[in-house]
Amino acid sequence: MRIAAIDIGSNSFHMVIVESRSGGFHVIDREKEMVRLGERTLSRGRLSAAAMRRGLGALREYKRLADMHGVDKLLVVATSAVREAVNGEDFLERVGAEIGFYPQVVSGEEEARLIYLAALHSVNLEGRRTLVLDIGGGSVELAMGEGPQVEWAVSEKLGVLRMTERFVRSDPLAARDERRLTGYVRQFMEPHAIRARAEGFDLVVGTSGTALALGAMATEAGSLPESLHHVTVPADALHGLRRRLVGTTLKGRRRLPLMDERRADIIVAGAVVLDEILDALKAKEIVLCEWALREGLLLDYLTGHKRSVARAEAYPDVRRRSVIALAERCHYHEAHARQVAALALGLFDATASRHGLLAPERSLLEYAALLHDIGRHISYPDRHRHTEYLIRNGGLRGFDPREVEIMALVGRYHRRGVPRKKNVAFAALSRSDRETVRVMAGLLRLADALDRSHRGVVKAVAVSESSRGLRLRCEVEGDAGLEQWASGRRGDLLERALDQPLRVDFTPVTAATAVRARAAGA
Amino acid sequence: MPSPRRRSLTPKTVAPVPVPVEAPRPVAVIDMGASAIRLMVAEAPPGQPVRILEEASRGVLLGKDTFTHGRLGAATVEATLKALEGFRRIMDGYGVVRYRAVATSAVREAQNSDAFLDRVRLRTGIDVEVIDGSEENRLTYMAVRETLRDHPALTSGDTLLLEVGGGSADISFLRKGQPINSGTYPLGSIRMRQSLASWHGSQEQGMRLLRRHIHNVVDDIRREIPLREAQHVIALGGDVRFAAQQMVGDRADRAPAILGREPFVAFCDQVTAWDVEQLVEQFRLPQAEAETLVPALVAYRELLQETAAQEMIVPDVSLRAGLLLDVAQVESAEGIADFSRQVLSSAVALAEKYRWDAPHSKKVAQLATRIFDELKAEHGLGERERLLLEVAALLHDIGNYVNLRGHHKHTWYLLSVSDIFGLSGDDMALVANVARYHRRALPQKSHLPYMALDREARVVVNKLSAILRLANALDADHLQKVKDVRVLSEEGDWVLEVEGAGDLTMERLASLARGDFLTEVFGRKLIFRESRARAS
Repeated sequence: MRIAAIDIGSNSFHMVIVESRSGGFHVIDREKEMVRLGERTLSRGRLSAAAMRRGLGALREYKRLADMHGVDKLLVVATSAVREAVNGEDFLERVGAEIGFYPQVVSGEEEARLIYLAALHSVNLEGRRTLVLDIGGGSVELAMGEGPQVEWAVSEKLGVLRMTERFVRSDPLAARDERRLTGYVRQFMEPHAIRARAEGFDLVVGTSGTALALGAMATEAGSLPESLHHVTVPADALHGLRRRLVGTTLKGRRRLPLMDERRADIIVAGAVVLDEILDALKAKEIVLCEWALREGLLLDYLTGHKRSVARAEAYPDVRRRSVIALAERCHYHEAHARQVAALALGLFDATASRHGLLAPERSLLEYAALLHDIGRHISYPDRHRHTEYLIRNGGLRGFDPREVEIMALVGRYHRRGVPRKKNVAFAALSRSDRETVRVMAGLLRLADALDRSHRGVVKAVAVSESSRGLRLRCEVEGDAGLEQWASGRRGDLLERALDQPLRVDFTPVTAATAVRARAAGA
Repeated sequence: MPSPRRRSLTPKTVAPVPVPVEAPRPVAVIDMGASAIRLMVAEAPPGQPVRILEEASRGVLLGKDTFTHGRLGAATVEATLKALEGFRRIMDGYGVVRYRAVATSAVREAQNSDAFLDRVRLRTGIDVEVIDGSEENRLTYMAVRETLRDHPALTSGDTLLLEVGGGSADISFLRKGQPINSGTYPLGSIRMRQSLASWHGSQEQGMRLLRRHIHNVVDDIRREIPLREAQHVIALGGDVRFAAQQMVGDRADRAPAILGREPFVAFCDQVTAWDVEQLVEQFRLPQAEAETLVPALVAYRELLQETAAQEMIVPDVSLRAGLLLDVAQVESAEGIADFSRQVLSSAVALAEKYRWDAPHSKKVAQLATRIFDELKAEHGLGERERLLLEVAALLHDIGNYVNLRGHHKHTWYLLSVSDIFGLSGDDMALVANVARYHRRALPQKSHLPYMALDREARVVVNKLSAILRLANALDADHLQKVKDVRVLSEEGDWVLEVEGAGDLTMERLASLARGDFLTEVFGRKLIFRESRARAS
């Protein structure tokens, strides 16, 4: 089923068109337009004729696009600019009459809840107490939750367009104007910040264009990174950015690298608002999230619940679901992938005292093992490189860029070659991450060899240490000729990583193991 | 000497030619394979069948060096140089001027191939071209098509065309003679032999391992190529030709040998039961050939068993035969049209693999080639470039399969690692770049894949991608509202006369926006004008 979600924001309009599938969705198209519906509206309390004309024009295009994609269902919401304008309803009537759909106006709190839902499904919250912060054109939303549970959600009229119109009277921003802006923001945010600090939180997630734009500039990447999703930005960096931006003129800002020209006028207020909020919260960093209200709308529609986000089944598995979705899209050989994953984890656990890696890395190994052969779908020769490319670019959700990189490299090195600094992506990792990749690639390469025939003949592995090195005992059911041959040749990477000679033996499966394996459905 | 890579596809006029004053000189082809270097000198007068004057062959184990050590050893290099000097003398003896010498995987994959080829050129004056798997396929296919011209395997039905070489196996699936899928797989006889050589178990266990390995690869092949649907099998390669010779003897008329399924399987079983010494003795084979015979035959056997074919056709052709046809340029206008069709059907098969939006991409291809034709006088590009543009247009959006975000870059990646029948590695690099630039950034010095092209190719990419961007814009809505387009010159500007249905606002806006590159490349401003459909 095809669904389009449109967010009629005060600063920008957004649309996303998706194809829904088993509880999740696959993005088909996206659109964004900086309509500035809230321009003057927010200060005057009514939508100007020009703003309405712009809004209608954008929505007309969106409708056309949606039709072209054969969308079955349109979800459209309008937020603060329409909410607060005395002629807001008139505007909506016109949309209905001229374009054919009737947007729904949502309250600020509802907006906050939906945004939390979006973050929940795209960022790995992992049962942590999370504060989701959305800095829009008209209003700022704050939602506090623990894992799937939203505890409270608020909205304050502190959006960047509004703040710019009200406080940014000078270019560059005069100290007096900055003080007044800061004071205003703190006045409304303080009670919420106090509450949040009292209740405690582990994570702050930032959504919306302003947060992403500021995040991009603060991380000072050489060029705009392909994806800002799940990137963590230190509050210090944002503070530094605020100081720099406050001292600039509009003309100067337009010329800054990574500055989106259309945001140049409102970005100063944006930087001040974000910095002040993070300061009030005493937050050290913020995780960027590319999903926002429109995705929240979709998820809400798909799970059928407006209020409760307690669909636990949708949740802790945002990563696993994403990994399986990618694997399935590439027609992976499920049985072999699962067997290799099981073997890799078995090896990981058996050698844990040697490598010292922990649960977070272990889960990345499992996902890399499930995905190790997806490159085959592109072509057989060089499939390890295609695996690397697909993991890196296939849009996995719930992982930060560092985790994606680790999985991509582990996937790449499951065959051929040795991780070396000559590989640019490998060199860019931290020293400990490089060590992690070496160990995990070694484990994966051996695990893959242990299912060379794709028949799942290895039922159990056990590792023992002696002065002569590591001895890996594999219990097999059936002919393990290929596995024997392959493991003899593929253990080198692991040997090097663990700095131990490795010997692999094969013995027939014991009765106990056979029973266990059958029970597990192997 | 005409450079073989810049073949133009422009049809040659096939008018009756008066008897030439001087007899045309013979042509020569040299093929440097994994286990031997072979020469063929032939007469190829236009419009007449090719007549072979002399064939020579020298066994040199290039493959053994490359597949074991990754480089060509000194002794091997010296043996090659000696052989080629001998070939040079033969060629000079016949007064050969036009030739084509190619080297395949055994040289291609050697670390020191550049230095080696340089020495060849300096010592013998022969320019050897390293060709990729796709060009090998094309040439072999040409030879096969010539020999089996009227055979049902090529005129109707589904056929598997396969060749087990030293380094790898090339497999193509043909439908009514058109290549639909093809690929290169790790079933090279020398490579398999090397792997087995490191095995220290019994002969029997080794055989089991070999079969297992082949079985696994066949599993992979089956995912990409519908082996089970093949009703005919055409097998090429020295090892299967040997088998054919043993089974049915030499055919004086060089007609293809037809080997029954059961007899062939029986022959394979018999041969694979022997070890190398026994094979050398039994069949009086050189050691090198005896070593690779078993892995190769097992591969053919397994593949044949996968199909529905009741027999295996073994034509007496080789890469050399294809090279000969290529050098003699016996291509007719019909052959050229055929070639384009094959390339396009291979491109469509690739697009289908990545679940393309067929109506949109086909429309973009139609409009792109249309604009190309309209602007012929301006860009000065030929038929080959037109074909490459069409391929790029059909495939420009496959990157969506990886991710909508940045899909133009994913398109580049997928094309840079995929094969399309008939297109060389250079062609694919060009196509990949043209498709990449269909949206977002224009070619820049910081874009490595673009800068990796030579200057001439970059100019072609600029022109073709400018056209593609415009064509894509004309279907901005993905609704195929634009039926056709003309380009007229008016006071130095270009008027895009667009014939379409319905509201073309999106197309207009997109064209004017995305036509910027066209303006930059050709220096003409674009004007968008809707035309009413002409009454026919």
